[in-house]
Amino acid sequence: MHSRFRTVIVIGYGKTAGDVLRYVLERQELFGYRALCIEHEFHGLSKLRALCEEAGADFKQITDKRELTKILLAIEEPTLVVSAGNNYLFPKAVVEKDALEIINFHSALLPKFPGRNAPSWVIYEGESVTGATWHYVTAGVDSGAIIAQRETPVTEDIRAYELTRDIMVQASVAFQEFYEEQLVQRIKGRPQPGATANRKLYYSWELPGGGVCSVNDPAEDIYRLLRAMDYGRSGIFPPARIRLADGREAEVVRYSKAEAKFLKDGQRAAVDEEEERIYLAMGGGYELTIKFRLR
Amino acid sequence: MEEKILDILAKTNDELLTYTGPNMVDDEIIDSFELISIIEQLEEAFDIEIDAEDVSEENFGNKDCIIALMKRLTG
Repeated sequence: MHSRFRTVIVIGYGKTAGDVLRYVLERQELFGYRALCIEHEFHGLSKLRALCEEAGADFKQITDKRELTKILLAIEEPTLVVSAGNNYLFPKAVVEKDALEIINFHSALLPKFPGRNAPSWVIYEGESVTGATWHYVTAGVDSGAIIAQRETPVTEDIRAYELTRDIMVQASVAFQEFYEEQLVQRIKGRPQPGATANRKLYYSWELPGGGVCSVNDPAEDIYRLLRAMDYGRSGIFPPARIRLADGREAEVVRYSKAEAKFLKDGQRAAVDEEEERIYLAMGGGYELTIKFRLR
Repeated sequence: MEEKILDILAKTNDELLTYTGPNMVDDEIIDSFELISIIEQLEEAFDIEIDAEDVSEENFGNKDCIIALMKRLTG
């Protein structure tokens, strides 16, 4: 078996990039290509450099967008670029370069939820299923033809970071299913219906519900917003805020859903200012507890 | 306290109870998402806040590091 490509470049960071790189490195000898990893954004827990060192493969950390663009534009040999967990937007000149075939992983079932932080929007919009999409990169954002998709359920208590992990697991499985075929022949992608310039794109600065809820909102809606914004301490989103009945706004420190024990029968909500806790009745005998901090 | 911590770790991955290496994420016992889950469960169980700067190899390398951190934060 021989690859159509002389080089395979993995660009990205995080779990999917690590899984993809491992797979790409394992197959370079069999398919006769050279693997290279480019880390565009530094990530404290990244294993990419270590994986490359172990396999004797090239690793580059290029955080400057212009420098990365220059390097990609200089490539003349047939090269597959695998973008996984990557926030670098490939410029039109790079995308249209004949020597490059660029594929990208998106953390939702395209054409739904294109743009950033898709798992958050999936939870916030109350979707029951989402997944991972591998697609060709074109000049538009997340709009190229779809190579492969795998689904994962959006369970009722799932938080954004948990869903992100589940999607990444599916992305790695999907990659392993199509990668060898892609090396040998170009997989005919499935065009995305509705991927037009006018479709809604989700931007990094957009927060589900504006990042604010009210103690008067239904508990299920509040819970959904909090889960949608929950990436732990990663700093992807600022802490969610909750408006108290008197209009003051508090920062949500943490939250949990558990069997009801604080609220009395028929009681909808209670606020304990001393303990800085809000208790909200949920369906099914559950209670949402929110630890807050007044700003 | 130790029992509560070990219970949280076991729920995430029971290998954490026997792992004694320096970095459970680097050694792929857990991934970074599971680390987030452990942090959220510890905060909830002990009613504390763990600052981002405390999320380090020194404090989250293995179960003993986590127990030491929790003793310090709840002390």
